[in-house]
Amino acid sequence: MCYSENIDMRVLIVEDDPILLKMYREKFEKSDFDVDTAVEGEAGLFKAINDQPDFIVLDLMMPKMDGVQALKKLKEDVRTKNIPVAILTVIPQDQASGLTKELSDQIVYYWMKDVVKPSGVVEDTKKYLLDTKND
Amino acid sequence: MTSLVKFTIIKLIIITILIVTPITLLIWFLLRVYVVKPIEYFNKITKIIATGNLGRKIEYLSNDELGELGQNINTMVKNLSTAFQSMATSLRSEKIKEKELQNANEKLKELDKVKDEFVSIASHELRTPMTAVKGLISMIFEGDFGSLSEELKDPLSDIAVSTDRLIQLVNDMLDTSRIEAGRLKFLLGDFSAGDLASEILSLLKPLTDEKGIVLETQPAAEKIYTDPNKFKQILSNLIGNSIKFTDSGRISVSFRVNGEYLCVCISDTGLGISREDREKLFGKFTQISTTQTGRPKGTGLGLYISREFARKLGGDLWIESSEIGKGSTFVFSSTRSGTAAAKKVGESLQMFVDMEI
Repeated sequence: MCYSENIDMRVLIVEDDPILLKMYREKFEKSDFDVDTAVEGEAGLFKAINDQPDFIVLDLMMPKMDGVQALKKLKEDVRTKNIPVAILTVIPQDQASGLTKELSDQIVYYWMKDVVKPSGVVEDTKKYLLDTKND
Repeated sequence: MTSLVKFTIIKLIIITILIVTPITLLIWFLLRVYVVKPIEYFNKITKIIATGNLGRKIEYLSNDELGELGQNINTMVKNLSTAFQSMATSLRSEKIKEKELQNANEKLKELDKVKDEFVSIASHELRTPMTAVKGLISMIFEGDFGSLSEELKDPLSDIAVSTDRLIQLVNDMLDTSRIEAGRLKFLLGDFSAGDLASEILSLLKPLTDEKGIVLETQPAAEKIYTDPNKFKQILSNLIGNSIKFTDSGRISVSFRVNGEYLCVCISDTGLGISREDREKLFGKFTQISTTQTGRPKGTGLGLYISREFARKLGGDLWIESSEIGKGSTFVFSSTRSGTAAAKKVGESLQMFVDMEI
């Protein structure tokens, strides 16, 4: 994309399914994102704190620490609370247990994996980063 | 008075005392033995019985009225004791039954929870690989893995369509199981019907363009009280059906106010539905097979789910008109914002808006 050089684009994908993780990683990398990955919430949290990505893509259903818990911790921690987080899941928003209205308000996108294509995920992310950079 | 008279009176008094006193004493003694003592005994025993000791009975029984009274008291106590025993037995069995029911209820609740977890995990596990298939195909078409040869485009499109159908089937089956378990969740609020419809129309426009059908709508400023996702799902399902069964002409979405409700009308110039097929269409897994040849298959759950959604949200869904070869008009109604009907929906669905979702 023409605006890719203009923004710093480091994305952290937290996803436990290896094939989906590979797929989204490839799609982001092909769009010139610098991609970091984690396969569950705790590792995602650790990377978010240490690597300070510009954007976090978070799955909901994961072993050990699930997405909702990870989101809560990310938003509680001063070091990560300002990093935009998007949820990428197969669970409809109204069925996601533990996702309170307050937490929902803190996420920038709620993508359903079976509805939004990988290109849609990448485009939305770019758009968000570009819009906030221009603000 | 002469001394003789005096003597006679004293004699009389003495004689009277001598006769009356023993008689009185005798009467007192007899009363004491035969009346007072038994009554005191009855009193003592009945007091013991009154404290709840139904095992006691009157032991010494004479052959007179008091004896009969004692006998009657014994019979009464015996009957009372039998009645208490049967009451205790039935109470015990009621308690046992209650406990059994409680246990059964708890087991059912546990089973229900296990079933819910199973459905939720199964849907997650099914959708994850299907998502990978769908996503990877879209990336192949977008050229992320090099250029795609012409021969592969057709089979890959078929894989994509089949994957979409699988995903739709899983979603529909999940919705159906939620409807039947009474576990649908709603996020209610006031929304512009026109805006919600525009979102769906712009999503479906590429499909009608591809078939050369006109997809049109009219502006609607009317606000409705609904769950926006479920409203969009209903509309998308109805327009999707129209697209499937319309080969030429137009599909139009219009709105009309009907009291407390806003009706959304979806009219097409498609195949139309015969009178006998109309009600059948709302059943689960029903598809009109005779008109389906060569057409994309659905899950047969769409209309059932849409009607349930519309009804749960306080409205309804019906076929307004349909004529074979001329087309159909499907209508669904939603409660208008601020009406009593909308308030009722909010109360019955307990407002998930500000609650944990």
